[in-house]
Amino acid sequence: MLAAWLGALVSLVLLVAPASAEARYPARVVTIVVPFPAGGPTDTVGRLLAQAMGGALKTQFIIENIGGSGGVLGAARVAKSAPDGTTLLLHNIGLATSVALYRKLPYDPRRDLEPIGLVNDVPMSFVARRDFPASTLGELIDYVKVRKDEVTYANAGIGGASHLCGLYFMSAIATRVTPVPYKGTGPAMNDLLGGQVDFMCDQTTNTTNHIKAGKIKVFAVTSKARLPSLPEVPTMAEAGLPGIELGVWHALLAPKGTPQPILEALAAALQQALADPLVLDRFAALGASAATRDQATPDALRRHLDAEIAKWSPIIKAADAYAD
Amino acid sequence: MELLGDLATGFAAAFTAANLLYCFVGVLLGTLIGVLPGLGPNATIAMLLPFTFTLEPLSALIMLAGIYYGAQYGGSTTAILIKVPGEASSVVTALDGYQMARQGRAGVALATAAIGSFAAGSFATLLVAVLGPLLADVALAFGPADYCSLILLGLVASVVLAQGSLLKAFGMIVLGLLLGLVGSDVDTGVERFTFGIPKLAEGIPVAVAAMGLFGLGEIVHNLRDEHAREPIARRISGLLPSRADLARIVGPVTRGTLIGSALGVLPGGGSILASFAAYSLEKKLATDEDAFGKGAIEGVAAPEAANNAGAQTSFIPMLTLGLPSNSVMALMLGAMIIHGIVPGPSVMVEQPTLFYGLVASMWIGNLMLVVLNLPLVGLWVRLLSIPYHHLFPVIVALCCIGAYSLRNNVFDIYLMAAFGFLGTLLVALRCEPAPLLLGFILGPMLEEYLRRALILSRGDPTVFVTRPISAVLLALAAIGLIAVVLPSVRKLREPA
Amino acid sequence: MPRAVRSPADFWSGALFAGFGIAFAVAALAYEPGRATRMGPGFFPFALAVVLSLIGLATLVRSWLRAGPPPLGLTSRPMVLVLGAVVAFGAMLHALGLAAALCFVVLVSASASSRFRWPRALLLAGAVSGLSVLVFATALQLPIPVLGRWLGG
Repeated sequence: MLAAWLGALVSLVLLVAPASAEARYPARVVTIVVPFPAGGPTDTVGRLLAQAMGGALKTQFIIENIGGSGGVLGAARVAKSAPDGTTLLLHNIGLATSVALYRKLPYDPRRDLEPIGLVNDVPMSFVARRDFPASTLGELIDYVKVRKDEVTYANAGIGGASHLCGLYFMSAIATRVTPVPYKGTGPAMNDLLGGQVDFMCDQTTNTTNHIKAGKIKVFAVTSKARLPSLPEVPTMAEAGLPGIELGVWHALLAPKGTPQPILEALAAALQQALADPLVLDRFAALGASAATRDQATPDALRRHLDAEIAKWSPIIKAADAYAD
Repeated sequence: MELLGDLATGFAAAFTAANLLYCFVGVLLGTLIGVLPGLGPNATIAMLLPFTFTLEPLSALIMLAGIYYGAQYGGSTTAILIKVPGEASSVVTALDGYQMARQGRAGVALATAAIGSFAAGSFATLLVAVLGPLLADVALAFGPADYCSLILLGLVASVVLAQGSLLKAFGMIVLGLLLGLVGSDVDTGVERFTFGIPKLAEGIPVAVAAMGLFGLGEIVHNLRDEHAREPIARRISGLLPSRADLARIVGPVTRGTLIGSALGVLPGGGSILASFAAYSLEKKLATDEDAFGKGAIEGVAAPEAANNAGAQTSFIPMLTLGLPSNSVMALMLGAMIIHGIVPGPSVMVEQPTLFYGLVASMWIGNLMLVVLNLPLVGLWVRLLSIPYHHLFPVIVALCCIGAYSLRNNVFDIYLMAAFGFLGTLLVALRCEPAPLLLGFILGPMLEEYLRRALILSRGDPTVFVTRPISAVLLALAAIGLIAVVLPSVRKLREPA
Repeated sequence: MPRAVRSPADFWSGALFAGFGIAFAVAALAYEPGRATRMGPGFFPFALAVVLSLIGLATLVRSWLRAGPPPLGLTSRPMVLVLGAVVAFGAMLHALGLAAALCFVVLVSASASSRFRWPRALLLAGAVSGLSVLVFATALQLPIPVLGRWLGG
């Protein structure tokens, strides 16, 4: 009991002490804008991060969901926010692909946003309905090359990870299959489980449990190395299609013009959060690998963003896919 | 009897003091937000998500689930009292419930809704526990073509909702379908009928359309001949259903429960169809069809039973397969992931306490709701003793706040006013807005499934008759259509 | 409305349906129709719009053939006041805040009633505004501006 009181007293002192030093960041509640609806995968990452970063910076981090237009609305809001470190953006791979997908993007991710750091990376997996004729990636490719657009593949919406993964696959094997669009991965998985659609490419978060239950077939994972959660599943390179390495990454950004000290404080807090055992545990359950200390920095994210925009723009342009 | 053991574990887990408290907090919050128009379970659960971080996973899910089915309960209260359906599922309840209220039978209507919901909820909860995984597999057999036919059947059934001209009812449905398409196209992302207004790109929220068409439309309509009579009877006759009333609702509640339980399992909007289907069935079975829409107690009992049963069974795909059947379920999945539980078929096996604990809490929560709501009936009914000229400005104010708080934007308030205008116009032209609203809800789904079915069948329309489920549903729709059209054709032949 | 019409309510409903149908059809022409294997965004709405126009036309024709009741009068006063109050609420909310906008919407919509009396309506507006601020802003913490920009909120 005494210890608890002492602890409370200590934390009170800790809170009060820095407040006396005037312009210390953060002076008030920090809002992380998640440009997708609550409950989705990006939202989950955001909430875990908010909890841990709030602990690191001894302030409250709250999540605001501003969904719509594949993440564009929320990102635009942050790009126009005051650059004082109280409004941040947690976005995903969509930040890089929106450059090519939207012909009228209300912001430029490289010009209007300030990178803080990468957060994590969720690998994708190629899965098919249980009674699909092909059982390995090689067989899938052979099957697709013969049947072409008779083969159907589910995607969870234009610009989403499953859509991009499919585009990447089709450009890699230079064959077009028939895309079947869905509103989100839930309904898409529903039809895959029900055997209505042939195959899809989805985050391991959504597929691992079904793979283990034997309800769907798996061909490969898109990570560089095999995953601890699915050790028997080969990587794309091992399965015979090298060069397809992709994952849904998440990153934290601030509005352009945010002062350097604040960005540094935020990057430090991010690195601290990514060392939090609870965060690591939850990321592992999601099949996500947390960004390393070097990746969770402004410079690394800047380079990553450039590389991703350069990687995706030609693929999207070649597929003639636009979201607006 | 492994199931009994599992259920016992579940009840033991749900019956701890903390979990009972969270269950109570959940259903109480749910009832309250259900009563406030526009404030749905979606917004509330999103707001409470950070708070659930600190809870045990089971407690968190129990509370979130309580908010969800509690809101279905609360939504019917405003539908009956002031014809403002808070949720899509209580749209049908507003038809006869509100008429009962106008006749001074608001208490009976509210109590009927509570009793019907409880009976349905208890049965559906048991169904989730016993047949959950099996039903989930059945639901998976439903392909896009089957959903398409199911929605068509629902639309045909909704014609029955309207009184008067069939032709106009069809017109209202099609107009509703078209209005529902406003927004971004799922397939290509093209913005349709948005006039370049970005706020319209995400579509028109159902609650905004419902509050405008029903809530505001009704107020303007009532003010039209206000001097002639008080719009809502202030003399209340009886708070609780009489023995005769109870005898009348046994059948409707039973049928509503079965329809709701069955359709609730289907992830693609099945639970929305349930209340409409139950109402239409009762109207067709009734000896006096004309009583419907004028305060028939069956018209409250059946849809309320159906929507509550559907609310419970819609947990099945989420719990057994990790597939969200609506946005609230998606939020609950998010809550599970935050707690380190990866949703999917293994949850039931690996976390039986979580599964059965949640199911047990749903039954307890339904009991709490009925205990909570029956005494509240007296209180709600007293609200109606407020003179209408004092009551309606308050309703207008609540609708305004509700419309804004849906997405925190002012544009939705203007949209609601526009739908209020449309509603007024339609009532003046003697068109019933109810079928329009159903079309509005189902329009985007019908298009989505139709297009997907045709992509998968490679453009072959015979898929709708070669798939057995679809064929049966289409046949039912055809029979329904004949049943609906024949009497009016016959009427046409009689000398007017 | 032509004099031969025997069911005025049907006539105007038909006109409304046909009007909406034609408007939607014209607008839908701007979108890709696609093929049956892969319908574009224009196909389904255009088909529906044509159906709606036909239903409208049938209703119009029927209004000549079958007698029916006249439409209920669109008394403009309650409609303008109630719906106008709602629109005004939207316009005022960010500038003046919830408290002021609610007072306004209650007062104006209440004035649509023939039983409107100033003192009571003022009391009602104050009560609704105060209680709503307490319930929605204080208790439920909804992100609604209580005092608007112009009031320094």
